[in-house]
Amino acid sequence: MIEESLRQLEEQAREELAALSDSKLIQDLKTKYLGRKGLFAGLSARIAELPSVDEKRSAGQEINRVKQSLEAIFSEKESSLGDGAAKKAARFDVTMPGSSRRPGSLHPLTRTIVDLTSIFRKLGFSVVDGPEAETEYYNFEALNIPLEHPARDSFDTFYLENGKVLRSQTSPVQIRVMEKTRPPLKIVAPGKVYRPDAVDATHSFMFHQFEGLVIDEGISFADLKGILSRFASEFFGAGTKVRLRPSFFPFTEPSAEVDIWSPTRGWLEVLGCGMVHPNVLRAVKIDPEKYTGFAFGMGIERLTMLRYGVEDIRWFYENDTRFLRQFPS
Amino acid sequence: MKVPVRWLNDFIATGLSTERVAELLTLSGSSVERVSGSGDDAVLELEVTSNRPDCLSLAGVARELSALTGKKARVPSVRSSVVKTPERVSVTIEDKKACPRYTARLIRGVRVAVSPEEVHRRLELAGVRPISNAVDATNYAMLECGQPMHAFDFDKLSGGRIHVRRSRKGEKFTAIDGVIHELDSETIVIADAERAIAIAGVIGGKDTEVTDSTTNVLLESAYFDPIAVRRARRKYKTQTDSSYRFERGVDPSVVGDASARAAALIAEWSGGKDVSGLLEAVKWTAPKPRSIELRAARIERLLGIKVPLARAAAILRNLGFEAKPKTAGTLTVKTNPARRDVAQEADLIEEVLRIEGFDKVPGRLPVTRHPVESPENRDAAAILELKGFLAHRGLNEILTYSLLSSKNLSDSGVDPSSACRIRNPLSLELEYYRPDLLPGMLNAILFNVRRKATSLGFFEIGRCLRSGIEETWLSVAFHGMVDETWNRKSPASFFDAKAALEDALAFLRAGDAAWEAVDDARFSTAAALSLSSRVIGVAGDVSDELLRRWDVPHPVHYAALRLDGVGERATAPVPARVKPVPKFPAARRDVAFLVKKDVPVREIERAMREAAGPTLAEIQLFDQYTGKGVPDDKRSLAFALEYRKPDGTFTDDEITRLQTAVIDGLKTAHGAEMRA
Repeated sequence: MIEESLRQLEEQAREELAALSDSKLIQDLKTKYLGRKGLFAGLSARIAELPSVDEKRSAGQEINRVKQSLEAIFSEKESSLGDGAAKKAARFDVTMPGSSRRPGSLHPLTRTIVDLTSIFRKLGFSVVDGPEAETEYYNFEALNIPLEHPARDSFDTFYLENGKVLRSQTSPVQIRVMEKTRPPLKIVAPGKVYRPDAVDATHSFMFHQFEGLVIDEGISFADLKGILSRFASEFFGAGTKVRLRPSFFPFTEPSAEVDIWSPTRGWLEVLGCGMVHPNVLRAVKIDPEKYTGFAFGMGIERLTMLRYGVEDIRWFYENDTRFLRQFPS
Repeated sequence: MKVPVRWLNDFIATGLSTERVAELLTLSGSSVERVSGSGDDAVLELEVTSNRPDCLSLAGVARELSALTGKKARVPSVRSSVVKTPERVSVTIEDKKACPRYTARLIRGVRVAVSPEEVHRRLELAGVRPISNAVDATNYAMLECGQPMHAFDFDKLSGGRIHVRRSRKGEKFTAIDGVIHELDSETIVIADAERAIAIAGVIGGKDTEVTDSTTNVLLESAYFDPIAVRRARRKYKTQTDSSYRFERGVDPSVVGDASARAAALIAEWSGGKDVSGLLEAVKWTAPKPRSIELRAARIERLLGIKVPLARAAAILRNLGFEAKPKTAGTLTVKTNPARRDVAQEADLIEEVLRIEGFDKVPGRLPVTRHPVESPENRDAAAILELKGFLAHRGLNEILTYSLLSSKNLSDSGVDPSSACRIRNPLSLELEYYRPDLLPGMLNAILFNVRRKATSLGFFEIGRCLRSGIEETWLSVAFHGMVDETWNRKSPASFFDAKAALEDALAFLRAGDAAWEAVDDARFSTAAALSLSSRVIGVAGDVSDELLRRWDVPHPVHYAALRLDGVGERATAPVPARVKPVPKFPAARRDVAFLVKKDVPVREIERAMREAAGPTLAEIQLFDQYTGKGVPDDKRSLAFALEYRKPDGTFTDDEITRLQTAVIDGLKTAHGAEMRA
């Protein structure tokens, strides 16, 4: 029975193969007969059904013969169709796109935060964090910004119904850290801040800042300049020229604005900084005679806009995938 | 502050080009935003920081340049004389705190006309609109010395008297600009015998302004408290050159000189003959200056460079401070009423450095010690890592506004009254601080769908305020296809959102989470996620109702997870203990059966474990089928089971017994019918 079926199978395969010249179809046919779940395998499995050992042996011999015969006719046919490489090429189009998944993306502002964090971590800074809904004490008083002072105008603020404010700068984090941890201290604090500014291409009521603080014995303005020059060359490129100009922030004295030189656009303001005001140190019970320090704060949107040529701050919050996907992870 | 260069030249001859002067000022803190015009009409446009009201005058800018260049500054000299208030004008002050100094001066026989041409030009260049000689004189003198002044038409003053008092609630006042204000009871006003004629330090009144027919001018020069002026400016939304200066603080000792200068100019330009002396309600005495010690050692400590004390003293003197050596290493410096921003040693050091030049300090990297305990916030560090992980996993990070409208909230199934409102919102679009990330996510999806995006996978990490507590949340959402290539397509489902949270938890090494079906009106199907039996997240298919409200056409599969505290385990230094690799191979068997749809997979797995005992090492669901051949209330499930013993392999009998136990267990517990 099985031997008869095997011979029929052999005959049938020869006939079907003779009619083909396409290597893909030949390959399919080979799978149909000789594949792991092919017709030949199906027949061979039935050997177990045979009652006697003799019958099994005889059927086994026939199985081997037919298998060799089938393999021979297929390999003969294949080699008649040219060499192996050409055959493979004909089987499928290797230029079709690989079935990869579309990569995700890190928001450009996060990307800047990650880059800044890594620059400052190498210099020994730790990453810290603070609440966005702040008390007036941390947002103003502890930072030497008295009530009803015109300085508060630059820090116009959203007031929440629960009595808190939305922090108008990341500097409150300085106070929170200094209250908890004694110097020496080297921290950076990225985060969102809020100011009631009308929205246009360069202003937003919500934006991000990156705050830095160093407190130790013997920290001077020269150290501040050194750290900021290092930041500028790591972030904007080696040899970036940096200029400091006197400015005013209630929480630093002396205070400075930092400009970087752009060959095409001239001096560009990138951040504010200064030596921590003695009143701020006193507010957190750090002796300003013993310890000195510096602080700096940069606008992450501004840095990102300069770095990638983003023209409108609103692009950051529209979340258009055609924008986001330009920053693949 | 606009500084016409031709006018500045009256105060100081620097011999430098306008560009050089602009650079010197910029690098010493009075940033010149731009130089407009050229030659004779060149104007320096200064951005003066709020701590430097002294630079809101030509005299102040000249003093800066004098310190920077060493050239002497000339200030127009005028002499003031103080006379006791004569009968014809009475000046009284009700609130001496809000107005510690008030002077008036009467100029009779004035002919009001246009100012001389040069005066006109200078005022225009300085950005002040010329009005008439009498008014221009007050502005001209203000620009010179920083003291705002006001000219009243004396004959329109009822009772010929001045009374500085608090306004009466409901009192009407018409300002020079024509705006009618209804005053509260807290505003400091200048009044005559009947009514308010000026809001102190902010703006004069229409009724008593100088007109073409005015012949007698009453010139006010006073000092008003910055807080009172600031309050009135904000309350009546009236910003003027005067309020701008008073808020920042003018020098009270200049009040008399400024009045004398303005009176002299009025007389000169308008033919006024009879200029009275200064009428002062109360004799004003300047507060005594305080002494500040400036230590050479402190300069070096703060700046990192040495500045010789003699040099520091010279700089401070050029800036108008009295500075004397105290010891070999210290100076005694007197405070200056024109420079109230200089109140302590650090302020003096800034003055010295500002004039020396910030470029004198060489940069160097600090030699610092490390903190005894790391202040690093583990959550912040872990969240930065998590963002990278989710982006690598194929999601696009979005950042949405934390401020939302009440419609945003109600459209997202959040009751606005449960959210924290902002007392002074920019607009109704931005009235609430978000309690949830869902509205921002739907908004971002809508924005992209409207731009023909079909497949979206987003995540956001941000703060939310819930019942007054600030929490950090992760949200993820899928819309359209998760996999879309020419040979593979799979539409997003609930399980993609669920898997994103599970992967995030695994990345954070947060431990095993449990899911429980819950009712949540925002979702058609929802599950709560708990960790150590505390609910920390949710996953769900956004309900049709919400999708309709947001006008999003296709399903959105959403999940959110609270991240507070995740940093603890994510950054824990000790890894889990490794388990030895099994010595003996496992036996794998499949089991497939029909079971009622409402039996959760978790219950089925539990029944299988209970039936098989500890040798059932792993259970993996590999297929679910409903449809043809399966009753409506049932589904077909197929599991791969892996049996394992620590000390050997299974015999056929043992495996058969285990499988039978599992099958019987499923039948008993859940009425499962085995499939062939």
